[in-house]
Amino acid sequence: MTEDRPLAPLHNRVYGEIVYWITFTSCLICFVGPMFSMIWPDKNAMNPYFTYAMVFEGMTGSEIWMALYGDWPWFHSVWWNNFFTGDGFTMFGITLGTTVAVWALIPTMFVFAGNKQPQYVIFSLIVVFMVIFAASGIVRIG
Amino acid sequence: MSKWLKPPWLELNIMLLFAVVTYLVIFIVVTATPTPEGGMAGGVIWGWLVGFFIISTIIALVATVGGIGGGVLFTPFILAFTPIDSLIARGTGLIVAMFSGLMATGPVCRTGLANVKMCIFLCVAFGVSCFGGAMGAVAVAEHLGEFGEAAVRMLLGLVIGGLILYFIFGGKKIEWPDVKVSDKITRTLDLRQPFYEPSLKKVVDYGLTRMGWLFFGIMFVGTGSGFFGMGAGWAIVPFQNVIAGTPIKVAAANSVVLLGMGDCVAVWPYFMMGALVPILAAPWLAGQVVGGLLGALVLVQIKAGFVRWLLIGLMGFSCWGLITRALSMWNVIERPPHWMNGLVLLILLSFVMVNIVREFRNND
Repeated sequence: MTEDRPLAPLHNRVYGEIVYWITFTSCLICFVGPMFSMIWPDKNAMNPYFTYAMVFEGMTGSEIWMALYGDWPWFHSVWWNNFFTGDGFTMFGITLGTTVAVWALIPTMFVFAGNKQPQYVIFSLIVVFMVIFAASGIVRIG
Repeated sequence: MSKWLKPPWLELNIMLLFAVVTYLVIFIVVTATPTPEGGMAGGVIWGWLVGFFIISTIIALVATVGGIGGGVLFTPFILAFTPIDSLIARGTGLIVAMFSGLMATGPVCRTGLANVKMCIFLCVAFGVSCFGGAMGAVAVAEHLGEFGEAAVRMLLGLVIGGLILYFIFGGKKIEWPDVKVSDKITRTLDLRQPFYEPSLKKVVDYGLTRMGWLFFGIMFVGTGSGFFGMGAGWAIVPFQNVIAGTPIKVAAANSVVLLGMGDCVAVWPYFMMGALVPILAAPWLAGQVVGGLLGALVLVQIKAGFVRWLLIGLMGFSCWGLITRALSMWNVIERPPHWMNGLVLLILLSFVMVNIVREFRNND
């Protein structure tokens, strides 16, 4: 029966593989990041011992950031400025994973363009721009 | 070479190795390090990290097989059993909803079970409406108040209730709908995509219809998702199946891809509001990735009937939550206690298990 199996289309494989490996990387970072946080608790954007205490006191996210980080600036500046700390590195991993649609759709668009399917290039572009707008913080809710 | 050293088992083993090593190192560190005054004890933090990872893995496994985001299971758990702020819970809930889907995206795309073209097309509707719904939530809260919010919940609950009945009595035509002629949008966008179905041992070339209506249906779901800040897989799967005639396994696979893609948009407003606490979100994310991969491997192999009964159970729990919440907001009933919600979930899962066993016995 194996020879009957149709190969999944190239755009399927390109999109799937990129999402898969970036998500895998993101996951490994989320194992390693908290470990570094606990080994060097004072070399973090927020000390994990106090972070967990405050989370379980029911404090809001911005209250915790204000209390432990001193400020709640633009999201991406936090992981960028604290990249070599446990929680900054974890934040980078989460950011990588939550923007994965952008990194996967850009090469997928080239496959669609090569297959002369411009409608999917346009749909993909719309999704990419939506993620970029959302991740930039330009569009906010509430 | 052993199959455990080949993809995707190799990745799974690497992740499990990382889990064991990192949590072991953290355990050693917290037992050797004194807790700073005012902080949480290191052993307790370790317990939460490991506990969150294990629970997240189980949630992701169930959610991926059903084609839903894990948020529908995660949020009640967190709000019921921990004092964590609801905004942090919802932001982390979206991570839970999306990462099992992201990890499952690889296997279901590789096999051709998921239809990426269909997902990208529907993501345009989902992403835009999700944002619109979230903004609408603010407007409704200001103008219609609690009564309006309860009415929307009741409406959604009744829609889901109707779909459950359709799923129970629809039988085989739900699992493999017979679409004779594809509609114009399907033909224009070249949406058909045959795939090899291991449980049937044959290639399935399914038709699709009413894609325009599905586009608007997904907009409705996206609006609801953004409005209530909850996952949407429980509605995306039946909408694809009922409106467009998508086979249930393809609908479940598309749903996990679409949720992973669409939540890349929806999660950011929460992060921008400071709702991401990295050391809290990390074990949830890791568990979703491990459970999502396991779930995808199961989804590709299992029979469509299993997915249908699992969905009935999960949709039943959502329906119960939506209707009781609406009635309690109207002061018709008291809000059900957590033990009652747990009992309902247990009864529904028992119902699902009995029907799955019965179906497999009949097939044998």
